[in-house]
Amino acid sequence: MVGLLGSGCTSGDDGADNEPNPTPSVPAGSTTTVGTTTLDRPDAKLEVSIKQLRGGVERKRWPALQRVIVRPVAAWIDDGYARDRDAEAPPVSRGFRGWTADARELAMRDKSITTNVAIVDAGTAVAVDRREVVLYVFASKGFTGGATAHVNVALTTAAEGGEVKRWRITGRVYLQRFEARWRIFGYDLSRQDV
Amino acid sequence: MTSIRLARWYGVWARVRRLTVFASLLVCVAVVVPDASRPPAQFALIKLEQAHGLDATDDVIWFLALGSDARPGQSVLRSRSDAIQLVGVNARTHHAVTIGIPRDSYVSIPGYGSDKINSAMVFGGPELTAQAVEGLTGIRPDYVFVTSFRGLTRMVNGVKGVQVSVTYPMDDQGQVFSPGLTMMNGVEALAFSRIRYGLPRGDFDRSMDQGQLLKGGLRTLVVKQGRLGFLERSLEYFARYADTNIGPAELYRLSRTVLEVNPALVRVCVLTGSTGSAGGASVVFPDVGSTRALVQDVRRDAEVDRGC
Repeated sequence: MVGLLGSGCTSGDDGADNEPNPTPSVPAGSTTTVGTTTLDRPDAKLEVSIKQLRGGVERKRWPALQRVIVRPVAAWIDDGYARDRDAEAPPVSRGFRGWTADARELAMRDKSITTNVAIVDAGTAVAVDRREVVLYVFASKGFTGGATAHVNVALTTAAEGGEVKRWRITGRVYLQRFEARWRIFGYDLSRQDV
Repeated sequence: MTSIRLARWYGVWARVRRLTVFASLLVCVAVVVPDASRPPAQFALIKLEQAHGLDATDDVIWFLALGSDARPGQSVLRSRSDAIQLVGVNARTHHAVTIGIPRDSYVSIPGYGSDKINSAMVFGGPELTAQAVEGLTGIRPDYVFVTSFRGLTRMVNGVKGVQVSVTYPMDDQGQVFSPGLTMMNGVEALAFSRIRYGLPRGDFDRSMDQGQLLKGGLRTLVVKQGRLGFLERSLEYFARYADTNIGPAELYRLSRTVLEVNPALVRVCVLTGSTGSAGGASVVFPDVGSTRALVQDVRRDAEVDRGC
């Protein structure tokens, strides 16, 4: 998924971080099977676009910025929503590694919305029908100040009994650089049963 | 034998009759009672599954908002402050309070003796005004925001107008306002914030109106922040044209913090006092006791518990 975003160079305050960042662990394009429940179709790939980045930021820096800004968002969507909740699944908190400590605590409190735990249990299969992130980045005099990532995630869940449901998670998360890494520090999300 | 056969025949006949009656009843029920599958619902009550959170400071952030009366060609930062509002924002609880300080308040201005508080900006710019406000209220502002008449007009027009609560009927400066929620453009908002004529408590009510304008502006920003790119566009415009010493990261974080405020939880207050004269000028003598009580009430949480 990260490869999808290209590999532009980093410069200025693009966030040339060398620390290991949370990386997506659910490969897009896989078929989801849990127990006897199967959703026989590939997960949707991440679509990212950057819509606003003026403020003195050269256009050639946009791809690199897009890549570092979207990284915690992509990791959260993968670990928070795209995962099954079977015994081998990693803990829910893993999806919040790219969040600030306070935001992570708040998001764990709201995990019924910020993850799929309220709609997926051990016997339920999950397929991601859509994962879209649109970034709006504020910059001034060549320096980035923060970004709003508008997210649109569509899921299909299939319970062991065969009940299939479709869900949509929309809203936005706010990001800023903290110690050379972009992190999510706020969110405003809603989940709909569609 | 015959009687036994008759009895059996009678029993069979009775069962057939009962079954017929039962079948008829089923048919009636099927015709009269609606189908088990529900018709489309005409009413619905749906709980919206939402979540909202921000990694924000626990402390109240205090802004001093100043409206400079600089005329064209004059320095915005070295003219008298026509509007003085101390604004406290609590991002954790989503509360905010605006404390209007009448511009004619006669206070101590560090290094310049006692004078009207609006002259502090002429003597020493926004920094000295902040010191005078701190001397009066005991609250040291974290940020000072200054705008000119033109700047206010452009900001309001930039967000396509603000909705403001009007308390008293007004007819002055070429504008007429009726009580109630009123949509104002930049020119109207500027006039509304400056009109004193006809207000029962003069400068005190004008200061209250300035607080209402701030509240209306905040409401507008909170509502519009959901629009794609609204905040980023607004900040870029601000950063391009404003004279500021804070960087883009702090500006973005500060904006997100302010937008955490729930407009319904904003209280508009004005310092009370008595009018009189000092040095041959008409002034307001702030009521020290009520000022201290209000500040003590709101200092920690920006919530007004005991009224203002």
